[in-house]
Amino acid sequence: MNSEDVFINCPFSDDYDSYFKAILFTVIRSGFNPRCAREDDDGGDVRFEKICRIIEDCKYGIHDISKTELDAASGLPRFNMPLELGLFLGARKYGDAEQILKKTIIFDRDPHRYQQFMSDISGQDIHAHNNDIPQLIIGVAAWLRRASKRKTVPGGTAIADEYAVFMQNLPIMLAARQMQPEDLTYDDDITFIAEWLVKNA
Amino acid sequence: MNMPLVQKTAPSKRRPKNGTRKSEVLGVTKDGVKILKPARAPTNFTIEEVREAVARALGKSI
Repeated sequence: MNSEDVFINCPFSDDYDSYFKAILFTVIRSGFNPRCAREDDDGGDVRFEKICRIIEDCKYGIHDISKTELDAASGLPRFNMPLELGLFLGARKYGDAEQILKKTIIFDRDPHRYQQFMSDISGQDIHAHNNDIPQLIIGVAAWLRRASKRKTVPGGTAIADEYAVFMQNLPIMLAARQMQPEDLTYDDDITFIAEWLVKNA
Repeated sequence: MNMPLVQKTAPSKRRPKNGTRKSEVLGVTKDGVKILKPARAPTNFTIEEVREAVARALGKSI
């Protein structure tokens, strides 16, 4: 398990992309290494095995269950986020002496919505971001500072301001290739964020 | 009858620990935070292209 690795469990849909980028930005800006199921997405890996492997590597876990809702097409719930949250909590509960040191934060869009579909997670560190990106960034930064005891993690408001500038710069950075922010892969995202931060933060 | 001193056990299915793995540092921010180097290369760009794009957006030289 690596004390710099942060597992990010969230939706990978287009309507969540700016939230996902905000979490990546905050994790990298705080001096950590983001990990998620989108990394190394070559299609040749069994997804569940890959997720288990990444979870085992990560000391920290950020889970956003705000998109746990009925799929418009199928009418069925989207349960990948709760599944990965369960895996992470299970690793912490039943893992070896190292795995039980895992730390996690759970976000939902409303403070008590989880009680209607996942009430058994009561007692965990659950926060509401109210679908507000600065609030999500502030929550992630404060938790990373607290959980890691690293005093160098910057204030969330300052990170949110930097993220807003980064998102203004992103279309300019992509213009030469005529690409849009949502065209970037996970590995593109983290490279642009890290390189931008080294030059600008 | 003499018993073997060392009993065979089933091989562990657990992966080797990588807790000693340390990420490389890409750079340090003005407030002292170490920005870690991404573990993998970008998909649609070279590192040089990313650096040129960042410099262009920030109006800085590479």
